Amino acid sequence: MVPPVDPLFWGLGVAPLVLLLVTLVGLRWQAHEAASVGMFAAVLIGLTAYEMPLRDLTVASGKGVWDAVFVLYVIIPALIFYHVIDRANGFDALREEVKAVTENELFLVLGFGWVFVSFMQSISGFGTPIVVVAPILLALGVKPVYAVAIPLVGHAWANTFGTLGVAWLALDSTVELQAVLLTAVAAGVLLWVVNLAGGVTVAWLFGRKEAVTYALPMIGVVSLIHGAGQLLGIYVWEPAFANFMAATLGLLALPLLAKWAPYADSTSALELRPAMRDDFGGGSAGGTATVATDGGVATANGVEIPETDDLMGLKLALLPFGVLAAVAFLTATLDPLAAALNTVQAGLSFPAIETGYGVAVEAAAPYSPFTPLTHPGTLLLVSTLVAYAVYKHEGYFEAGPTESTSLTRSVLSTAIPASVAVISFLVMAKVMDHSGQTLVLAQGIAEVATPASYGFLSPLIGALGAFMTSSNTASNILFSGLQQETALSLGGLSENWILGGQTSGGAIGNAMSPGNVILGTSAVGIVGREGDVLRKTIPWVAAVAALIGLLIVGFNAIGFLGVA
Amino acid sequence: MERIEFETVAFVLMAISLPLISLGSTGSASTLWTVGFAVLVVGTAIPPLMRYLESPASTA
Repeated sequence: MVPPVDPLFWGLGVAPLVLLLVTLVGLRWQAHEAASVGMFAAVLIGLTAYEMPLRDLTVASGKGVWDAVFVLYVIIPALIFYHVIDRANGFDALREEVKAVTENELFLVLGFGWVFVSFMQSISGFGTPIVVVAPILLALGVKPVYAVAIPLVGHAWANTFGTLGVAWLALDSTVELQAVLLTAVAAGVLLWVVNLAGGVTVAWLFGRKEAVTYALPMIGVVSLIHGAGQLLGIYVWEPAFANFMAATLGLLALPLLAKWAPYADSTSALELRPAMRDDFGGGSAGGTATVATDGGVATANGVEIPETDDLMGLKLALLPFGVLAAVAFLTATLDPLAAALNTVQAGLSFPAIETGYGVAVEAAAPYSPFTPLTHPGTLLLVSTLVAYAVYKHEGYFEAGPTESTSLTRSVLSTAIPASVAVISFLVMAKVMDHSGQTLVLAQGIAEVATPASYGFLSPLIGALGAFMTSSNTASNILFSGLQQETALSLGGLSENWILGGQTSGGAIGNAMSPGNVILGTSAVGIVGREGDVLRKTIPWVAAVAALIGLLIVGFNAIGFLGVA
Repeated sequence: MERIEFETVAFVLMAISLPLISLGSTGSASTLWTVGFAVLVVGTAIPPLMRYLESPASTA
């Protein structure tokens, strides 16, 4: 049973989201202030209109706080990871060493903000790619708001089959697919479009139309490797490894592309470079970086940049990222190791609940157990410890009591407001889910749709799920069943394309999910500027969702990959 | 108190609410989950309240 799916209940269901977006994006409130408003709206509407008993509302809220543990255990280790590298001047070293290979800023922004972040997504998750890449872009002279928005857009395509295909596996296990391979191929085709749109958008953010024109050959080659590679992996190998194969090949292609004539020179000739800091002066060592005047103020700014001779080499600068990639890959692919590590788990119990409208959730004991040893937070901490030990041994890290206190203060001053925002946001999402508000939103869209318009709207539902949960996987678990049932009941719709639209929408929705945005803003020290980041990513999500929606309608109409 | 101190209080209240809600709701101890929910509400209310209550001088 569900609450009435009518304009009143749909309007009440969407109200918390509208309030969140108005305060966060429209009024530019800080994330923890806006999330609080959204949470209170969801709680009040759940308690009254959606007839949720107070105890059940409390249970849903408690689950939301628990869900936040998974995100907070990325935010805090990621901040420590960032500060340890930063205090050893690792980002300065990385920038100088990379510039020795190429000084082409647009190439570097695409290389890190689209290709490297995709590789990180292929082996990791929970927003780890964003917190790793955003500070690198900052060190390359990208303005802080852009340094967060670019990897959010650049990594989106890799969400479904990345992290060794966890979101795809969730979809496959949630619904009984009529044609598993065809649905995976449909998702792969749509995600190729998302990948291409990601590359073009990263170039556009860097330098608008001129930069897109200039970067098109590189974007074409990389997108061919990413998109076709992923499709090939799905078709001939195994969906779980398709993204890893494609993203790795894309990364390996970068050194070759750097030698390609169009990208061998600097891009300083491009007149419009809105993503880059004018006062950065190319980021040369030995100077003083000043505060950015547009795009935010980061904690990493305004510090003395050491002389080049004092900086570590490329191997040491890449060490933390290499260790992170290796540890993530090992824990994800060595099943006996993962099984052993996953025996350590913790969780809290919650009772069954049921609203006055019959929306019921079973008891869970434990609810969503937390496996810390395979969680990205632990992988980040292991990488940080290795980097800290090596940097200290090599004399790049001075760690006295004053330094430790300063590092702790830096981490906490960013982590606390970010954590408050994440908790409020996830409580809001869980209350909306358990009260039936999220279901009414999705069913409302499905009820007013025709077969053609539903094909167009299916990515939007997937994106809504990812916005609510910051997870492609969770979006697929939430809405795959609804999407499949709606496709069947409307008739004339290919299940392959509708579910492909669901998971593709879930992938792009990650680019605007407040949880991921907060991870990015906390990593570059601009907590409170989440609205500015969303102003850049929400239009991209809307445009790409519309584009793949049109493709679904078109492919369905011509019978490509099957019609129901 | 500085802004970060208020935010720390909000975070601690939210964290405290979790075991109270879980233990209270599974053990049918209504006082426990009610206190847990109240603590969560107070913690969540702090950030928007600060927006209107804090004086410019106390902003971190």
